[in-house]
Amino acid sequence: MTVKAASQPPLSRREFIGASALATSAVALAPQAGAQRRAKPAPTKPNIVFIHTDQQSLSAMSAHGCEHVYAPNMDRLAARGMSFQMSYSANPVCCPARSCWYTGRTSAETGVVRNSWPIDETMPDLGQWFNGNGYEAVYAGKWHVPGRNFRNSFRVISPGTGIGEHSDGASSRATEAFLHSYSGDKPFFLSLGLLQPHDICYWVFEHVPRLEELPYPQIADELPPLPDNFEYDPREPETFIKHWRQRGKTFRDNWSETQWRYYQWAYFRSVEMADAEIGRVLDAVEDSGHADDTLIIFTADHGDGHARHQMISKMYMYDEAAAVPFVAAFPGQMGEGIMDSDHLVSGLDVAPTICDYAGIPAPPKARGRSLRPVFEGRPSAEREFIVSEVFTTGRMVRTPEYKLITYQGDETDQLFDMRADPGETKNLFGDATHADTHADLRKRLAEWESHLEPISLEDRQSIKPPKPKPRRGQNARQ
Amino acid sequence: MESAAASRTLPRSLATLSEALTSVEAPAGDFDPRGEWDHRYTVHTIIYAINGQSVNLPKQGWFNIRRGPLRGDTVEIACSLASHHSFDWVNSLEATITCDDDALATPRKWELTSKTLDKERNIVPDTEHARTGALRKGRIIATSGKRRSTRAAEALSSNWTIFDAVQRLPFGPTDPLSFDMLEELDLLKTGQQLTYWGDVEVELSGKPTRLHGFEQMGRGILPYAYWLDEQHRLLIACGGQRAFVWNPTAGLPQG
Repeated sequence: MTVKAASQPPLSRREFIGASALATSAVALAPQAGAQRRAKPAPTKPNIVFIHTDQQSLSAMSAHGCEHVYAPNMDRLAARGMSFQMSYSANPVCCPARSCWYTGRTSAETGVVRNSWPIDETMPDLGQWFNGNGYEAVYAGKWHVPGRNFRNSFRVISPGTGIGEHSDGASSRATEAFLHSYSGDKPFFLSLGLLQPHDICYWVFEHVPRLEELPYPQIADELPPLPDNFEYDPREPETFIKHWRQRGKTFRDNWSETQWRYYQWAYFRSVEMADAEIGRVLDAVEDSGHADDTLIIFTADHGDGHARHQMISKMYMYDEAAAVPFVAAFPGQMGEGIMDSDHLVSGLDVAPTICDYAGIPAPPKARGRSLRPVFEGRPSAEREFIVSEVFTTGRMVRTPEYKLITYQGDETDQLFDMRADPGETKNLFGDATHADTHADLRKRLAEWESHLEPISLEDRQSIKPPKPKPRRGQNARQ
Repeated sequence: MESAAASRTLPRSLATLSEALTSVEAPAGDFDPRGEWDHRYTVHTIIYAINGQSVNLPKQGWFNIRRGPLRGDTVEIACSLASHHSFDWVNSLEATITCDDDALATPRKWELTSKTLDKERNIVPDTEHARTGALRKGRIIATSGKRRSTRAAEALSSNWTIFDAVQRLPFGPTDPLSFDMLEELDLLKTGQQLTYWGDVEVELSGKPTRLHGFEQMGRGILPYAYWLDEQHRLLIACGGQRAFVWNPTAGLPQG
């Protein structure tokens, strides 16, 4: 059974057991239908462009069927590679998700369990890792991994700000310029952190009061309808109800239908803003002559409620917050135009995947797996489930068929049949016919967690988050 | 900081900016939008508090736009945009655009340079880039390393030349202007519509001033508003989380 790429170091027994938890005993021998074998030799040290947006749900992708957003650039990237339908954030919160991408470890292990909790300072990030392994590591845009100055890990070409509309253009322009200008001998690992559609948070703040009348009647015909899963099953965990429904940060019980629809409309416009910036970078990859030797991966840190389950924002495990885009393209090196609905993908896979392509080991104890065999249509160990985390107690176990959401110490779980009920509207927890499934998922979660090395929660609580700095740009000159 | 709710009678875009408007000095004298002019704006970001009760408008940079003399049917527009980022770095854009003297200030030919400057105002390595473009026979021809050709809508504007165009539009209800927009001269945003909103009286530095508004909607933008004085001088442009507010000294060396 192959559970890690040959380029990675031999597994210790502990690591092997951990990896085995991800794999089944069966190996898929046939390439995925539609996948194309590599058409030309792979560059031994390809360039890597890693693009991430902020707060973009998988369900806000036109390539995956969203009719209310116009995103020709995300579409063209998907058309040139593979886009995954079962792709999940490792932790649907900004800083934790980023700490997972950039270390390959779970957020319980990086220590970034909440925004502003600092990362374990001994844990290498991908900037350091690639710089130490023959690459030029470059960064533009939003970083947001607390406790780690990205200027010590990357060559920063644009540091961004906290507002997408202000930051993203500068970041994508710096990326464009770098792609056209770079003349170094080393291959590059270039990360671009776009903020959009995260500005929707400010739209929500602006529209706290109930809105009966649409302020712009001329867009009335453009407003998306309420989603099919606007109504939700109230049998939710107490933890969720207390922290997410009742505190009002992620739930709205006073909004009008018009307001919910207008919110979706604004969200999709924000996604389109991100799409345009991605287009600038895709053009630059092509026009600078790097297209054939550059792997591009695009994903998002987490999604946004956009009215599903009457939710806004993120920080929970419904698909609108937890399921994110994951698109990879590498001309001539992988299948093209493939919408994959067979493979589970996690944000934890970013590090092992790009390290596999770079021909370097994954960072120590990386918990995900390289997706390269999947990209290339080669036989790979089938993955039975993935796990995502949220805050200290929330966990999600996702198999191709089911999703379990559980909070430690809570008497109520959520179990959804994701094939029969992709909108997660009927909680099957407590249904006797699904008791075995529930027990099986709980068992898998326990197995998965038994192999992790989480930072002690007591230690975490003794670490004070850094004092908030003045808002970026407040002291900017005119 | 003023409560947004206190200004609820204003159109939303102006209510949001009410704090910034207290320091805007309404320009005096006549203005000929078809002549040569030089406008400067402070660029603010618009950040609502989580409860929606207040809004913060940090200054994030400045914008300068200059219209040159009419040469036949075309005119040259020059733009400079400086936006401040973390570490006190600056992203700088400089553009010259030859555009038609028509309702949309249709861009015909343009050049753009961009660069990132560090705290000492040195260019950050590998961040300087130049691109050119032109609108020819219904296609946008852009050169940035390679030549790239994209089909253009019959009606085309840009988010910068529209600062010129909107000043030459009549006040009063008319059919919406429909067009595609080249944002920063390379991001094509389709399906834009510009409509006259109406007029409203506001106080600028304590002085009552009548403003006329236009609203723009389309793909890839949040509702955008343009506010002009009675002489058709554009004083405020804002949408989403960004606002350009009239300031004749923005970007000039401080005395």
